[in-house]
Amino acid sequence: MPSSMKDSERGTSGARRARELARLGFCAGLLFVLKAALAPLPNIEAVTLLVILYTLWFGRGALLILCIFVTLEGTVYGFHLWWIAYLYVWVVLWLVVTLAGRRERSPFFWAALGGIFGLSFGFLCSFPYLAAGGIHTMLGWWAAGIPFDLIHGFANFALILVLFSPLDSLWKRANSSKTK
Amino acid sequence: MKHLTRGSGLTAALLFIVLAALMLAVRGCAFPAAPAGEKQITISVIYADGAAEHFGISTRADCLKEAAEAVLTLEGEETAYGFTIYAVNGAEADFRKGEAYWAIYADGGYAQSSADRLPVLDGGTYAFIYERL
Repeated sequence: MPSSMKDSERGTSGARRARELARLGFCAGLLFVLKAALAPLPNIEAVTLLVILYTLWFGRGALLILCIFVTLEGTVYGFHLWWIAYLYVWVVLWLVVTLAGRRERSPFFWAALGGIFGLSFGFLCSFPYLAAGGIHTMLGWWAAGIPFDLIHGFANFALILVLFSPLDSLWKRANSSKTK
Repeated sequence: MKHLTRGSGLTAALLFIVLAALMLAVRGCAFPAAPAGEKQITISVIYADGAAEHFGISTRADCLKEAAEAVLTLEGEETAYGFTIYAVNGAEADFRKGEAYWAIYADGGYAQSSADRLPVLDGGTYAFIYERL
């Protein structure tokens, strides 16, 4: 094979990889900005919706998005106890979505899953408090935050139910037009 | 080819509702609502130098913050964890500055929630204690 062809193939592959990285970086930035924009509304966030979509669209690439997102969060808001929970809680969602996404699921399913995740968020984030103060601190912290978890769960359900289909359709349309 | 899994959405939704109901029940058990009517409680403040103040009050308040504000000046802000206290009667213990904080005790034990979420029970003893980090 002539070396020039190899070079052009390498160039195309390199450009594609760079484009992909840029796209993942953009998605991470969007995640961060949307979270900040909705911060005044307690426990109402679009992160769960986007993590579900990113996982379905990018698979393992979504893990890179999560790495960037969690690093940004820690850099801006400080590396406190909550940040330790952030290291694993979104990966748990990624894992669940990856397993559930092996079959075609309805938007209603994803809304319910996002709702369950929202309800479980406080419990999942309480484990660093187990290390910090023992089981009573962990359970007390979790129980005190249950009203916020309830808001989180129902808000996730509603947001995903409304926005999952339009965003997923947009993505599929954008990708199908690229391949034409 | 993926095939649409019917019924999984309904199962997930059912699980969501059951989990929400369970969490409401846990919350109700962990933090019973404050009883209505007049309650006799004791509120103590222990400052950085060890000085203490004790107040025996009669209150209809539902939460400690509301009851305490009858005899104390509480300064702080609303956070995701409830009302976080930075000063009691002007004595500052702001954990954001990394030195000390105002710990809340209820009936001798470390309170598991903020002052605005802690129900006031008849005969209860509550304390705001300056503690170093």
